[in-house]
Amino acid sequence: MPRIATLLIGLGIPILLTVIIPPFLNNAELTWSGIPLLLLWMFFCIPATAFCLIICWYCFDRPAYLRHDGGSK
Amino acid sequence: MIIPVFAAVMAISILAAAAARFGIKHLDINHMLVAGRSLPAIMVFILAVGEVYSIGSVVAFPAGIYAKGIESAYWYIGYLLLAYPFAYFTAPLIWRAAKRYDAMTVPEVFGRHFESRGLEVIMSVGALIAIATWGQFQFVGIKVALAELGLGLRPSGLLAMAACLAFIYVGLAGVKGSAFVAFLKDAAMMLGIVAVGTASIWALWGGSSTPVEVSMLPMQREMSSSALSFAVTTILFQGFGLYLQPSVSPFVFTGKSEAAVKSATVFMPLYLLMLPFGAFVALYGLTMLPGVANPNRIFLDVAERLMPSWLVGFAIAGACLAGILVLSVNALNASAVVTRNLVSSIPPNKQRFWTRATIALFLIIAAVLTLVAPKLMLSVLNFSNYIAIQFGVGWLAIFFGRRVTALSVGLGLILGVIVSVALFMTGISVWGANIGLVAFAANLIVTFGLGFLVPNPEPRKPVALDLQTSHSVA
Repeated sequence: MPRIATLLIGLGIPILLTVIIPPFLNNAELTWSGIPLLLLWMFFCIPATAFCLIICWYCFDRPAYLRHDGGSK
Repeated sequence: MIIPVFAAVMAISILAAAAARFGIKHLDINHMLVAGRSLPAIMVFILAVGEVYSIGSVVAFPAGIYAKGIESAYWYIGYLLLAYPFAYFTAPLIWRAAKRYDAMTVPEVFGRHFESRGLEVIMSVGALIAIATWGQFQFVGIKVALAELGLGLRPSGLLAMAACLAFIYVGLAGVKGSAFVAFLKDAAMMLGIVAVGTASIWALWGGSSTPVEVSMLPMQREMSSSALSFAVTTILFQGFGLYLQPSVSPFVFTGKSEAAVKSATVFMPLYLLMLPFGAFVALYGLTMLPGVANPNRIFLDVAERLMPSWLVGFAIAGACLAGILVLSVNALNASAVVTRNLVSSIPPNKQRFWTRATIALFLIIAAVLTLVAPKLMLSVLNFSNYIAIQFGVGWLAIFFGRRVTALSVGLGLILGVIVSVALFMTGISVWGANIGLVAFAANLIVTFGLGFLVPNPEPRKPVALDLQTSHSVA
């Protein structure tokens, strides 16, 4: 289960953020102070992607590595 | 004031490289290439992100937004950002493969996994082509940044200066020298980008009570449907392939454990928080300095306009250090491939001499390429990516392939490179898709198709099926 969960959170959500959603924001009329909304969205994606990986690591993979270490001792 | 600050930063960088030499009694080939496998995780992190985050982020990123608008920004942020989620899953497999075969270079992993000296040589040649074009890209950026100093030197003189510095960084203490300089480079570059970016934001919105509208043409605010599909396919496949490139994967080898490598990728996206500052520099340029003659200079134009000259010196020094540093590490990677894989008969006591000689040769060739074949910076970066990402197919074969042979991996790589070069030279478009993606698909079909039609009689254990080999969680 963790493997599917990490793939969904660690890869699925970042792909959703950076590849699936942007085409819907690609509109010359969608701006804030003249800045394309898509550009601001990509700025938001930077911390959001880091957050996804932090969840994967601290909730799933790090505990798995620790369990693996514990089991092998 | 610009030149003294720039010269001071460069002098400190040489001192930093010299400081890296302390504590190493005898600089053997092991110390030169992998620093005796002694670098702490933070230095590995700085080296790995610094390699990806080169002079392009300082000079080419604002230049791209200034020239092409959202199209360039979306592609650049998107592919770098998506590279880390992919690396989170592929980097541990790269580390595992290198560990299984006790490899120090990428061609070594391929040669030992497929038990083929021929494949090792082919991979060495491919790696050298990819690393040389990436090196040339650094030189193009350094040329732009150094020309700003107005030293009255010809481009050949400027490039010679950059090449000498790159040689000093790795010649004195090998990869450890580069790691030491990397800290200085990151400090100068962050200071430069953040300062110019903040000054741009302040100049646009800080001072006046009337809100300023950024002026971008409609075509700069919205991508055409063909540009959008090109950007989306490019982001996906370049993001997937970034850490599988021969200029990037060697940094993964230096990690102390599989868990350390995986955990290092978790925070790497935050390093990209510098990009919004670069974007604001471009937005300021579009609004206040429309129609400059050379978009490649927009970062420096804005810096000159908004900052005191000593801070401009810092920004230029940071940009140059970023380029020279990546250049030096690439020179070292290239020389490792030559002295360890291409020519296998160099005795150990001669390896240090030949490594240094190869580094010098690499720098000269890359500098000459820049002088005789100048291209727009983003095009050069694309071309380098087209070839480098072909290695991704070979890595997939190592991760997951059971019956793929050395022959099919070698033929796949050769075909991939030929298709990229042919499409790049002729300008032929295949349904508007990225050239590298077309070549990647051809490579994938040949590698796994041949592996299916003419399977290896002795199946190999895919690296992905190995148990987790790490025993220390970082």
